[in-house]
Amino acid sequence: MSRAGSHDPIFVCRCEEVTQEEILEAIRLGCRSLDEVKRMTRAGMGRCQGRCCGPIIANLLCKEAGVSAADVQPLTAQFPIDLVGLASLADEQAGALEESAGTSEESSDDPA
Amino acid sequence: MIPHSHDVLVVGGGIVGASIAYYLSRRGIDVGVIERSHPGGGASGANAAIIGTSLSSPLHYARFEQRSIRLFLQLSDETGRAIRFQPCGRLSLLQDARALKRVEGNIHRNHEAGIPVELIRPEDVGRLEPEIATTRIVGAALCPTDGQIDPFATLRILVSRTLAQGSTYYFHSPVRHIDCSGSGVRVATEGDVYHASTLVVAAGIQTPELIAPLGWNVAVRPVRGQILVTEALPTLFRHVISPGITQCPEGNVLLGVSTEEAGFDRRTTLPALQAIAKEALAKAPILRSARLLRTFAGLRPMPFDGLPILDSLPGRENVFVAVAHNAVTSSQAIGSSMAEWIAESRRPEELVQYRLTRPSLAERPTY
Repeated sequence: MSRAGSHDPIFVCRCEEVTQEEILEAIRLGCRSLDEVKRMTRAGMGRCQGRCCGPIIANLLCKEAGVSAADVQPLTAQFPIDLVGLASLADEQAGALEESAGTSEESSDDPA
Repeated sequence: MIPHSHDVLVVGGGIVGASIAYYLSRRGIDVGVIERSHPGGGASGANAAIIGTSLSSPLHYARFEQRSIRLFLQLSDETGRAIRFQPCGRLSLLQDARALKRVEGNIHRNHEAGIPVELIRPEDVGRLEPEIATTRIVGAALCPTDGQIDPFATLRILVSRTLAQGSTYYFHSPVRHIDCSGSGVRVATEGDVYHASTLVVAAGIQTPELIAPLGWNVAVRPVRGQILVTEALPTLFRHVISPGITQCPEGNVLLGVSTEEAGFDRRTTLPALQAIAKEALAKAPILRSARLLRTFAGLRPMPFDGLPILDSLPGRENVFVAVAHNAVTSSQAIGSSMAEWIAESRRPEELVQYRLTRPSLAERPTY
C-alpha cells in the first residue's frame, strides 16, 4: 500500500472530479455553504448529487472557515432526487403526477 | 465604524458585475464588489451555459455579442482554457417557413456585420447532427463562433483574477441603502459602510429595487427559466442545438430553457419540466433512453425590450446601471465597455443603444 504523495490530487467529489484543493480555494474565495461551494466548483452536481462528497465538504467548511456544523445546510434537493427516465417524465400524465404531489404536500402540512 | 473605501463600488457579483470589476481592475482601478450572497447565487449560476449570438435582435447587439465572444477567446487563452469555453458552433433549428424566411432575410446583413451565420438544409443538419430528427425542421442556422462555457469556472476565474489585481469582494453583504446625494457615493449594508467616487449597480433582477430610491425606474423583470440535466452520456451532439439541447464536455445534456413569468418564485414546476422533456424527445429521439439527473430554475433579468441596459443615471454621471438578459454571452463586452466608460469618462460608441431612457423600454411586454 502506498501513501498519496503531497502533490497527488485528492478528489473530494468523484462524480465531477473536484479536488480538495479546489474546494479549499472556493472556501478561501468566501464560500460558506455547500450550495455556494457547489456553484463555485461543481462539487455535488454529479451522479450522487452530493450524497458522497457533501459530508466531506461540510467538514472542510467547519475546519477551514469556522462554520459551525449545526449551521451547514444540506444541499438544496432538486427534482427528481433519484434518476428518472426522461421518457417516463415526458409520457406521464401531468395531471396525475401533480395530483399525487399535491396530496402528499397537503397531508404533510395538515396539522390535523 | 471605518468605511471601506474604493475608487469604484460594484453592487452585484454575478457575471455582469464580476466582468465589470475584472476589466476595471485590469486598468489599475481599485474596485469593491458587494455581493448579497455569492458569485453564481443568481441567474449567473442557473443558466444553460450557452454562448450564443442572437440572430433576431438588432445587428448592433449581435455585433456587441460577437465582440464579447472574441474577448472570451482571449480570456480562455490567458487562463489556459480554465473558463472551458468550447466554440463548438450553434445550430438553431428552424421549424417553419416563417422562421426560415426571417433568417434568410437577415443573412446578408449578418454577413456585412461580420456575423458568420450560415443557412443549412435539413439533410445537412442530419449529417452534422445525426441524432436530430430532421423531419420536424425546414433548415437550420449555423453560427460557428458560438458554443458553451462553464459559467461557474468563468466566475471563479473572474473573481480570483480581480482579487489578484488588488480589488476586493464582499460576499454575503446585501445592500440596504445607497446614498449618492454628495459628490461621491455611500453604500450601506447590514453592518458596513462603503465609500467610492463611482457606483455600478449590476444586481440582475434586484437592480430595479436598488435604483428606485434614486428616482429611476429600471425596466427589468424576472423571467423564470427551468432546465433539465441528464446523467453523463456518450457524445450525442457536437453543436449547441437551439433551442434547448446542449451537451457539456462532461457528457451531461442540458435541456431547456423555459421562459415564464413567475415573479420572484424560483421553484421548478412539473408541467414546465414535462413540456421541456417532451420537446427534447421529439427533437432528439435517442434521449428517450436517457435518465434525468437533476433540474433547476433560474430567475433571469429581462429588460422589457430584451436588450441590455448599460447607462449612467441621467444627471448622475457617477452612478451606472448594467443589467442584461443572456448576459453570459455579452458579459465580456459589457465588462470591457463599461470599464472603458468609467476609466475614460466618455460613453463608448457601442453603448449608445443601451440607454436607460430609450422608448422601447416604456412598455412591459406580456407572455
